[in-house]
Amino acid sequence: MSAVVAEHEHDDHHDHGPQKGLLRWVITTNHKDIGTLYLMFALAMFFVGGAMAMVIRAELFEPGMQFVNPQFFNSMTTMHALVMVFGAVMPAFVGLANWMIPMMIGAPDMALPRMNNMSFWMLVAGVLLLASTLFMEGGAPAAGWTLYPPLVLQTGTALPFAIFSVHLLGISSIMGAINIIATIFNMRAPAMTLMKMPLFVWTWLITAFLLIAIMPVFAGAVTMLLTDRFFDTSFFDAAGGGDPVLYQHIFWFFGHPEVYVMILPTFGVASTIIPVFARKPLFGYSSMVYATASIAFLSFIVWAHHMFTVGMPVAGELYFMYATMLIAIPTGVKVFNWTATMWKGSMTFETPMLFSIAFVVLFTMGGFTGLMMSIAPSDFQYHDTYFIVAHFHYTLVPASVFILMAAGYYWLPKWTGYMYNERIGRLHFWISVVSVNVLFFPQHFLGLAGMPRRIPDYAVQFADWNMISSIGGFIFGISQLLFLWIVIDTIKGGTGIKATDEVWEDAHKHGLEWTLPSPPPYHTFTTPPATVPTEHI
Amino acid sequence: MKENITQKNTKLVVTLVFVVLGMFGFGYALVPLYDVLCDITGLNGKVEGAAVKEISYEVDKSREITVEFMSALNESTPMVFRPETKKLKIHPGEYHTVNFYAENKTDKVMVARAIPSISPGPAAEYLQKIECFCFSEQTFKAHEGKTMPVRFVVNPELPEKYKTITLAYTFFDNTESSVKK
Amino acid sequence: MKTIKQLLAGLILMAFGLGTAQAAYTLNLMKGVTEISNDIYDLHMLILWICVFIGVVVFGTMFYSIYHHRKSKGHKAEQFHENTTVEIIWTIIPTLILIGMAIPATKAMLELDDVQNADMSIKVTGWQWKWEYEYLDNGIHFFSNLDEASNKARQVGSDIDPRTVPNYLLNVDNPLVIPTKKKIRFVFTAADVIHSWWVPELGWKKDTIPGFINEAWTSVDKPGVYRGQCTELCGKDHGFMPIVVVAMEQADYDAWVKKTQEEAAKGPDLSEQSHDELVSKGAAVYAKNCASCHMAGGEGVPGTFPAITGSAVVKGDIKDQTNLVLNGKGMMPAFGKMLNAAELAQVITYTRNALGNSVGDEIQPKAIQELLPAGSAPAAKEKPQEKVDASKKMSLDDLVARGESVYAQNCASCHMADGAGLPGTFPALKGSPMVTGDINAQVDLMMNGKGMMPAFGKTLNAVDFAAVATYIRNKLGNSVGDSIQPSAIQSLQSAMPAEDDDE
Repeated sequence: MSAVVAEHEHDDHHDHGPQKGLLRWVITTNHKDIGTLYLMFALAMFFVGGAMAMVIRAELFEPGMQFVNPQFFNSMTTMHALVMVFGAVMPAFVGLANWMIPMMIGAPDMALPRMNNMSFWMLVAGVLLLASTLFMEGGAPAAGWTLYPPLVLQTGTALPFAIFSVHLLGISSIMGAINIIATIFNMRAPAMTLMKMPLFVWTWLITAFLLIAIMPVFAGAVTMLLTDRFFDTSFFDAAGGGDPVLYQHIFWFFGHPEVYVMILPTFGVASTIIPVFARKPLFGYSSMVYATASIAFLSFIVWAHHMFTVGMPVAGELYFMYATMLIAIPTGVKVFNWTATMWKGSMTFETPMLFSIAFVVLFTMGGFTGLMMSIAPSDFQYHDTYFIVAHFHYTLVPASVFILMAAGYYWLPKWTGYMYNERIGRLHFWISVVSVNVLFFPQHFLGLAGMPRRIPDYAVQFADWNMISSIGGFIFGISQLLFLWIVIDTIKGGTGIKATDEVWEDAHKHGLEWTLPSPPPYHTFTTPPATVPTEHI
Repeated sequence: MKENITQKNTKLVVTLVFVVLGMFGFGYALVPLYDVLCDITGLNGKVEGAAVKEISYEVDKSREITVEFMSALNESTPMVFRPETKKLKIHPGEYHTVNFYAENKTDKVMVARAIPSISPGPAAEYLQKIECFCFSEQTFKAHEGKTMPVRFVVNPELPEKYKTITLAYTFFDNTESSVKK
Repeated sequence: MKTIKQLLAGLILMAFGLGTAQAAYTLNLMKGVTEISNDIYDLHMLILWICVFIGVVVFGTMFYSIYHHRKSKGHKAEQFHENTTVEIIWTIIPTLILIGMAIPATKAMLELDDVQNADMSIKVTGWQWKWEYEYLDNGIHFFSNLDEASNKARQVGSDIDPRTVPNYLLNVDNPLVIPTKKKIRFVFTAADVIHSWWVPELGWKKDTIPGFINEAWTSVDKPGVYRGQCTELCGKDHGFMPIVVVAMEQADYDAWVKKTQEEAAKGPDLSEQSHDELVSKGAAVYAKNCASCHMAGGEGVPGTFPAITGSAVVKGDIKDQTNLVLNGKGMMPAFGKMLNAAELAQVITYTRNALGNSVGDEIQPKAIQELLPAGSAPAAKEKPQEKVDASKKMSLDDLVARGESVYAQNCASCHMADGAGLPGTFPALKGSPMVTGDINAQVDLMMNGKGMMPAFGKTLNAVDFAAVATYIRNKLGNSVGDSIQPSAIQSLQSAMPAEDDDE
C-alpha cells in the first residue's frame, strides 16, 4: 500500500460514482460494493451448504441406505461443514463488517480498499476450488471438517486441492481481519472513541484479532498434512515418530477460537438490534466489551475439551474441564445483559427483533448443552454423538444464522432504500423458528440414546426422531427461500415503501449509519461526523 | 491528515503481518512444544526415543510393579511380532531385560520401525529404557526372524498409585519411505 | 398471528406427545450397568436440572418482559443501563453453581481414570471397519464384524427393510464376552486410522490411536448384551462397525473360554475342496470382507479402491495375489491375520473366477496354511513348552549339536552367527575371557543377565541352556573342551526367584 496508490484511491472516491456495468463488481474497492458481494456470496453458499444438509437429512430420513453411498455421505458432512463455516457464516459477517463498520465509526471507507477487493476474490477462488473437489477422482474430502489424520490422508486426488483451498480461505480471512483492525484503529471519526463504538464494531475488532492469531496456525496444520502426504515428513505419522493426536491439538487450538469467530460478531449484532427495538440503551455496555474479550481469551486455553476421550492424563482432563466451565460466566453475563436490556423497555417485534429474541433463547439452550459437555466425565458419553451435533447447531443455526437474518432485515432498508415485506418476514421467522427446533431438538434425544454422529445409517430405534428431524430440516431448508425472495423483492423495491433515514424509531440515537440517507450515497462520511450517538452505551 | 493515516495503516499492516507470520511459526513450534509437554505430563504415553544411561538405583523392595508387554502391527506390516514375556513382576529400581520376537514374512528386505507407547501416560517417564530395538529402524532380511532385547528399569520415584504399567510396541513398515530416502 | 401461535403450540404438544410415547428408549441418557455409568448419569441429571432451573428463571424473566413491556401495551421505556450490584450478583451466583458442579465431576473423573488393580485385560484394536479383541490373560483372539444380516440390508438399494433385521447395525458375528463383577481393563490401539470404542451402558468411550495405547476399565454389574458403535469418523464404513459386549456370570464365562480355546485349537478344516465349492463359498467371504471397499460387483471405487474385475493382480500369478491378500499393502489389510486358510483359499479362488474374471485356477486351503505366519493361528499362539528331561546326562557332542540351533535363535542376533559380536555394542564370544574362563561365571551371567544381556535363565529350558552354554565354549572359534549338564542348570534355575506369568 504505497502512498501513491492511496492517493489514486482518494481521487477516485471524490470524483466518480460506481463504474458502469458488471466490471464494477470485479474491480470495485468501495466498501459498500464489497460488502454486498460478500453478503450475496454468503447467501449463495448458504444455499449450497444447505443443499448438502438436505442430502444428509434425506439419507437419514429412514434407516437403510436409500440415496447415496457411505463415502459420498461422508463427503457431504465434510463439505457441508466447510462450506457453511468458510463459505457462508464467516463471509456473511465479513460482508456486514464491510458494509457497516465504516458507516458505524464515521469512516469514508475501509482502510485498505484494494486488499479488500483481493480478499473477496480469494475467498471465491478458495470456495470454488473446494467445491471442485466434489468432481475429482476419489471424491471430495470425507474425513470431517476437522480433517483428522491419518484418515484425511486417505483422501484421493482431492487432498492437495482441498488443502490449497484452505490456504486461500485462510489468507482471505487474514487480509479481511487486518483490514478491519486497520479500519477500526485508524479510520474512526475523532469523536468516536473506543468505548463509544457500537458493540458490533467491538466484537468484530476482537474477532479480527482471533482470526489473525488462529488462521496461520490452521494453515500450518494443513501444510503439515500436505508434507506428510507428499514430502515424507512425519508430523502426524507414528511410523516416523510423529503423533496423530498432535494434529488434534493444533487443530483445536485453531478450532475452538474459530467457532467463536462465528459467534462473537453474532453477539455484536444482537447487542446492536435489541436496544433499538426495546427503545432503551444496552444494559452493561462495558461489561459486554469485557465479557467478549474474556470469552476470546478463554477460547485459547480450552481447546482440548474437544479431545476428552483421546486419552489425556487426568490432570489435563480436569484442567480443560475447569477452564471450559469458566466460559459459562462471561457468556451468562451477556445473556443476562440482553434480558436486562429488554426489561422495562417499550418493545416492538419487527422481524429483526423476533430473530434476535429467538437467538437469545436458542443460543442459551446451545450454551446449556455446552456447559453439560464441559463436564469431562459426562462428555465421555456425549462426545461424538448427535448430542454434540444438536449443541453446535443450536449455537450456529438459530444463533449465528438467525442473527445474520436479523441483520439482513435490520439493515436491508438502509442498504436498498426500501422497506422489506414485513408480513412475509414474520412468516419466514415463525416457520424458521419452529422448524429449526423440530430439526435440531430431537437430535439431543438421539445423541443421549446413543446415536453416533457422522453415520449414514442407524439402528431402527433411532428412526422416529430422525424422521422428525429430517421433516424439520426440509421445512427449514425450503422456508429459507422466503428470505431469498424477500431480499430480491426489497432490492427491486417491491413493497413500494420508501425507507426513512432512521428506518427504525429513534435508531439515529443508536448508530451513525441511521444518520445517513437510505440508501446511503456511494461515498459516505468523506468528512467525519462531528458528534456520535451514545444511546447504545 | 490523510498522509498520516496512510502511514499509520502501513505501520499497522506491517505489524499485523509479522503477527501472522509469528503465529504461522507458532503452529510449527507447537510440534516440539508438544513433545516437551508430553515428556512433562506423559500426555499420550509418548516416551523418549533415546536410551538412558544405566545408573544404579536403590531397589525398592517394599512394592511390586507389574510390567506388561504388548505388541501390535500397523495394518500393512507383514510381520510376526510378539513379546516373549507377557508380564513381569518387578521391584522399582531393578534392571530387567525382556525379549521381543519379530519376523519378516516377505521375500524382500524390510525396514520397520517400532513405536513405543506406555500406559498410563504419567508413568511413562518412570519407565526408562537402556536398550531397545525401538531406538532405530530395524532392517530385516527376507524371512528373517530376530529376537530383540529391551532392557529397562522402573524409577523408584514412580508414584505409589501405579501398580501396572503397559509397554506396547507397534511395528510400522517403513520400507517404502526408507527406499525413497 | 394468532393462528400461527396456535399452530406452534399444537406442534410442540405433538412433539411432546410423540416424546412420551417413545420415552422408554430414546429421550435421555441411559443409566447403564456399571457404577461409573450410574455416576455419570447422576452427574448428567444434576447438570440438566441446573440448566433447566437457570433456563426457567432467565427465560421466565425474558418472556414476562416480552409480554408486559411492549409498546403496544403502552409501556414506556425506562432508561437505566447499568447496575453494578446486579452485575456482581449474576457473576458470583453462576461461579458458585459451577464450583458446585465441578466437585462431583472431579470425583467421577478420578474414578474413571483409575485403571489399576484390574482382574483381567483385553486388548482392543480398531480396524477399518472391524474390531479385534485379544484376551491378554488366556490368549483368546478374534475379529468382530458387522453381522451378515445387517450387512446385506445396509447395502444401497438392498430392498431389505431394516426393521425386519434383528438389532440392525448393532449386531456382530463374534461378540466380546466378559465376566460380570470383575474389573476389566481395556487397552486400546488401532491398526490404521483413529477409531473410538463406545458402549453407552458402560458409561464411556475411548479413542483407539494407531501407534499408541489408551486404557479404560469397566466392571459390569449384571449379565446382559450391551451394544455400541464406533464413534470416531474412520472412513467409509464408520457407521458399520458395531460393538457387542456379552456380560456373563463367571461360571458361564469360564465355560465360554474353555469352548473357545478348544475350537481354536482344532484349527480350520484344511481338507481339499472342489473348484466349484471354493468359488461358491468364496462369494460369502467376499461379501463380508472385501465388498465394502472393492464393492459387491468388484468394480472398486475409482481413485480410492482398485477394481477386482479385470485387475492385473487377480489375473496375474496366483502366488502374487495370495501374497498380497495375506500380507496386505497400503490400505489393503493383511487378511492372513483375520481369515483362516479355508476362507482365504475360497475368497482368492472366487475373485479369480467371478466378478467378471475367469482365470480358471484355484488355490487349496492347505497351500495357504503353509504360507500363514505360524504365530497367527488363533489362540494356538503360545508354543507348547517342549517337555525336556533335564535329568538325562548328555555327551559334549550332543550338547554342542543341540546348542547350535539354540544359539542361532537366541544369541546370534546380538553376538552374530559367527560369534564376532558388534564392536562397541555387543561383545564378541570368540576368545572372550568370560567364555574361556570359569564355566560357572559364564552360566551365572547367562542365567541372570547383566546390562544389555538378558537373563536367559527365565526363557530357556535347562537342556537348551546347557546346550548353548557348552556350544559357545566349544565352537565359534573357542575350544575350552568342558561342558555343563542340564541337571546342573535345572538346580540353578529352581533357585531363581519365580517369575509371575499367567501362562
